[in-house]
Amino acid sequence: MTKLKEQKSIPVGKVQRATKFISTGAKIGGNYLKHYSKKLVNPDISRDELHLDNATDIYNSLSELKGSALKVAQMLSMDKNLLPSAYQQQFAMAQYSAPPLSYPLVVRTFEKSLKKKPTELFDSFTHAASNAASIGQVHQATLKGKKLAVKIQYPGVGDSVKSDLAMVKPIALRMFKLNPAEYDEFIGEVETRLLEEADYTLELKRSIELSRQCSQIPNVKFPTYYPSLSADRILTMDWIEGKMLGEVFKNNTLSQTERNLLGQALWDFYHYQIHTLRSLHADPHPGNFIITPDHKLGVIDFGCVKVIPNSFYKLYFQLLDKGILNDSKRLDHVFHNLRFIYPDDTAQDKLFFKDVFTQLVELLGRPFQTSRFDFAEKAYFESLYKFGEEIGNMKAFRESKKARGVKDALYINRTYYGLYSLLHELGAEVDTTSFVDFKP
Amino acid sequence: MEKIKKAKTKAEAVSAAKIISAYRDYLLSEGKQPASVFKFCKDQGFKEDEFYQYFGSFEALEKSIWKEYIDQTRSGMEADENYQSFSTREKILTFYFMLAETLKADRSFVLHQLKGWKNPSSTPKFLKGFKSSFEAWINSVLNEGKGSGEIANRPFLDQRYDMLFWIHLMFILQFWSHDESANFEKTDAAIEKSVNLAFDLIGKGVLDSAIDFGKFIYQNSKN
Repeated sequence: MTKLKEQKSIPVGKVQRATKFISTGAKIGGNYLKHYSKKLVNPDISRDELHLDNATDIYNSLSELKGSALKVAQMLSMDKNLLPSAYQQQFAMAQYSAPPLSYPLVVRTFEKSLKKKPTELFDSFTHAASNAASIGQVHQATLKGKKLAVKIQYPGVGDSVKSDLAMVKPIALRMFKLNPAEYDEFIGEVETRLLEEADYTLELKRSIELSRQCSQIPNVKFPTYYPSLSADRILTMDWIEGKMLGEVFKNNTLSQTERNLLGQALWDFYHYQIHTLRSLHADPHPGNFIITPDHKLGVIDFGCVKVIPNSFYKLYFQLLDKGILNDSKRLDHVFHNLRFIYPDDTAQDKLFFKDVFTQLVELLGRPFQTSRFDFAEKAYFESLYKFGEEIGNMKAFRESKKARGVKDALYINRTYYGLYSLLHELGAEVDTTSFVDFKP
Repeated sequence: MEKIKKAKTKAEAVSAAKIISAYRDYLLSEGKQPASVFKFCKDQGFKEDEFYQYFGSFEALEKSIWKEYIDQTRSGMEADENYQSFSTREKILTFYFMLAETLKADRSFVLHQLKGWKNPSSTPKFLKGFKSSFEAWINSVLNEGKGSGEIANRPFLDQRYDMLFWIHLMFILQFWSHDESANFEKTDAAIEKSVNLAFDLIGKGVLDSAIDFGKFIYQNSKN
């Protein structure tokens, strides 16, 4: 759940997004004109400059885009242009900006799926929404003295996701020079997650399941969910008092001890899911957490859940093994299987990508190499940032004709970027070994 | 023959509702109007004068079915205790949502009627009562809106808002008749979005500034 005003600051309509694509198209057209007019004067000019112009324009326009279109672009580029975009742009569904639902439409939604008006189901029900959720909004209600949060989804979100993804396809194919099969694999993954987010019945099931399984983690709190007051586009749960995590970042009144405790709760919450449950809340967005008055971490949104396949888990988390970076053979094996390196890459490319990804793994895995890690440390994040930028400017990366990475990594990477950035903003020092008693 | 006998036994209780339901059945099963009132009454076992007691013609009958949609929606809506506290925008939204619900129950008949409507610039006969009922309602709501300041006063122009809302309603009706989404979810979105747009236009805003500026330029160009 994001605060209304945050959402207002991202004015994205589908038409605007479409226009963005059109203007990019026009620019590319312009680049071709420029190219051919130069060619008239100088027939020897190569197409390199043209490609560079195109890539720059497409990239610039995509980074201005928000919503699921951007998400796709970002995810596809994750292994090419790592951290800057992932940091600068917050996550997609939170940016999915739907205008608020009118009260009559809220009533209509209730009548359609629960056959009753909200005023008949609850003792009280607020006329206006109190928060905007990623693809809907939250109303406050009371029933038998209990305060409840009722999330209501905008009609037609599923279709909108599909049309957004259809819109991005031609441009993404060009930009990343993917073949359609690869594209479908990645898009399929993104589309599945986004559509799942639009399915509140599934979210209800997962919320109940995951919050039960995670209930033992210290300092984490979950609302109770009410299946009889929920439906495909309505989700009713307890109202958790407190401040959104985002607000806490802004006016930081917490002591260092409290911040460390919260950071530890976040860390434990994620690593318990990753290593024990193998299924995780893949949306570490500040709007999905509430800090209660007694400084506990309330988790309120299980819309985006990624189940980690076993084979992928074994492969991916080997990268956190302390010795792996010095074990060239094992590293090759993992890199091949994660498709960072392809068997048909040139020897030069193999060396290049191995080097880049080794640096990356070292950098991202650094918090795991010591027993405690201070996420407040600016230097670490600056080096992450700088490295991401370097990758983005590497010609070999930009022009590689292959998608580097596997689809299962998309959401795991996203989760780690999100988690790191939350911990950084929180300024927490965390015991990173609390859940490392696993053996891949 | 047997049909007539069956109908005859109930003949004492011929009511408007009964005639309407028999007519609707006939229209939807046969796909066309009965050949004549005489034939229709004979087949259904009514006396012809019983028919005329309620309706002057088939057209009048259709008209009354349509008018009933509006009246039913309106009374259903006004029975809700929260309705009076709604803003004008919310009242209009509620009206359209409930109308869509009312029409859903009778979708086959509505689609059949709309199929015959080829010329969108003229209002077909069967919609006449529907239209006058709607206009009576929308005018009362719009006046309230003007009173509360939700709708901007614009000399001359605001007299025609009922017409604009009528065109808007026809748009929704057309949209709904072509909507194939589950539970007509897209119609809900169309209603919500188009009413929001309509209110952005009739509320005080860009348009007033544009008119004001236009007037200023016009007056100055004459000097």
